[in-house]
Amino acid sequence: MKPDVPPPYPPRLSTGVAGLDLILEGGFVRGSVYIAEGPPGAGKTLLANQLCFHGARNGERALYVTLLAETHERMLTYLRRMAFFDEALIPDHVYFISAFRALQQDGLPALLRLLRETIMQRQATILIIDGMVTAEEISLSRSASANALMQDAGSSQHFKQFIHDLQTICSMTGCTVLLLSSTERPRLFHPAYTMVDGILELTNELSGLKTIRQIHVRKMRGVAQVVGKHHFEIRDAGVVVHPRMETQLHSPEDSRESEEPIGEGKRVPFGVSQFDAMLGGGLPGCSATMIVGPTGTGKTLLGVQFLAEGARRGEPGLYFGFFERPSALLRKGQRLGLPLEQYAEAGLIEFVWQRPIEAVIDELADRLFTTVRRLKIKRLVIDGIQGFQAALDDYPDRVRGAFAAMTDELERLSVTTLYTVETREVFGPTVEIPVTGVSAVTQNIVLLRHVELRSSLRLLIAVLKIRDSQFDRTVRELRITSQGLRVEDAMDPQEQVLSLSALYPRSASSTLAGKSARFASSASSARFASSASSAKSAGSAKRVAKPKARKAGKRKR
Amino acid sequence: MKPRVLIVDDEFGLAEVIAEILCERGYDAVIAMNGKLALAEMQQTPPQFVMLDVMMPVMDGPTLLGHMQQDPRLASIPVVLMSSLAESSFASVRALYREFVRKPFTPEALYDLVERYAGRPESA
Repeated sequence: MKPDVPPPYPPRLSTGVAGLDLILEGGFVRGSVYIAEGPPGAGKTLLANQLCFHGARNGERALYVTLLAETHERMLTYLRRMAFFDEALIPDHVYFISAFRALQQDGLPALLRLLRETIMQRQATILIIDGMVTAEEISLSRSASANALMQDAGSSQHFKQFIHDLQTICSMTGCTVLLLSSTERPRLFHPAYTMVDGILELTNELSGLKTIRQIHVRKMRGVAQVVGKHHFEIRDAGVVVHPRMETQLHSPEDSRESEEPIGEGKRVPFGVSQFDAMLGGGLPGCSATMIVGPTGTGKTLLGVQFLAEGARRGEPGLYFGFFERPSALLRKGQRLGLPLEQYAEAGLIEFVWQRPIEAVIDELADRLFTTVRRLKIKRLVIDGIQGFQAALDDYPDRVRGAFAAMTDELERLSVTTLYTVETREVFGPTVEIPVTGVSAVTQNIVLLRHVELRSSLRLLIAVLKIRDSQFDRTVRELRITSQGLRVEDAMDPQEQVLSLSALYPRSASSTLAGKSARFASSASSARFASSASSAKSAGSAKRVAKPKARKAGKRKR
Repeated sequence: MKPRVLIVDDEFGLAEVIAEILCERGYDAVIAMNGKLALAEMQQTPPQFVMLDVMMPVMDGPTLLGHMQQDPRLASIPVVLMSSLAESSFASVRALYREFVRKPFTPEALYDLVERYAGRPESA
């Protein structure tokens, strides 16, 4: 997600797909020959047409040659749905021809003649050959060798010669070539592929019930491409490639990396005086905070309060959520007396909502960082980190790296971030963080809980951790009122509060002492164990030791 | 004598289907894969009617229309331009063809065009 890419050398031809250009350091090298291969339906034809129409809009002249039985009319019918398609560019700037018959009648030399003649005649700067498998098959069938092995070798030789001649024509004319080849499964080696300048592999594979589309740049001469596989989608806009977010991190060598994020060391308050006091004046600037709690404890409210306070101070904020629509959030704001709508209209709060289904992590990250950069966001609430987690379900080994990349980048962009994390247990002695990898990259943790107090339910708020800072460890009550959020004085230490009762038995203080409560993380999950009895059932997670808690209590007595 | 129809289209599958339909109806249908081959064919044996695609390798439809205008033997041969694009894309050569038909078209539309411009075969 580097915003500025220096002009690439050698000169490039933009693919018309921003994410792919990013992977290719600006696009295809002009005058080179590339192959895009993949199974039927992978998106090769779409990608090629997108390249042609994008190029045509920028003054290129594209020649699209089919070697398929499918008619151009049929292809155009599908293309008309796509946003990049513009019939006015045909035939002057995008030109479709079929070379099937020439190839069938006279083989690869005839195809080459036809291509050379038409490239020069049309002054084409982009050439697509759709259906290279047909060329290979016809080349094979025309090979005169009787022996099957020799026939194959002969065919390969012809095909390599064809690629070589095509490269010569294109380097003379400056025409960039993309050959499209259908393969049911990726081929590890094809003799002719040693000749081409680059290979793109497109795949669409089922994962459960959903299709995952990926693009892999297997070879790219003269380009330091972003290696590995990247997600892509097919939308009405065309092919949209999302480079893997981990690869878009700024490297330590990046000059800007050495710069301190703006606001680091400052405090970012919520505008709830007693809570801000608990935090030592607010959250540390540019830090990441987890707001942990079960459903209905006010995580989202705390998030919108954080954004509203930022807006009041003129700091642009972004709500990036999965579960609550903007309209519902505006209503919530009204109940708290927060003028969210007014802030949104003033451009001080942006709401971005997406369904938590079938999302792709790189797409989410792309959307998030695009908005953060565009609006120069200073305060961010990611409401429901599980939405991001779900987008990583297919890649469990990416979880840690992805969250680390996201958090680092947000810090670099001087954004103070809140992640809300919903815990499974509404009541009970343990708090389990259901998202792996987040706790390791967040510097601050705030816990929200339901508690039972004199037969009524109250909300409890406690600060578990603040980066490199002193903070108030007192457990307090959080109240949601029409005048806003309020944090009360310390709860009566003699009260038996539901889940924390065992932690502070008859204690003189309701402090969440570091020595008696630990926020623990393990490879698979993180738990905050708030009682000794629960510790027995807390499995492998680190736990609060009951004797220790009692000891603390005794000492105070 | 069968009316001679020249089908000029690089999409050979489509050209073959048109030719077969016309042959079944009693026409003498000939295929050329591009404008250059079509011009040579016409100069050798002028057809009664030409169905002409636009985008083709070597020589495209509009260029062939220009050549036909230059040749007195070919200038009066009726041409129907066929394309999957809208007719507005070819405004610059509108005076050089009789009619436009958008691909895909039905066999009935084809019969109608051929009968109007090449006449009805005696056997039909």
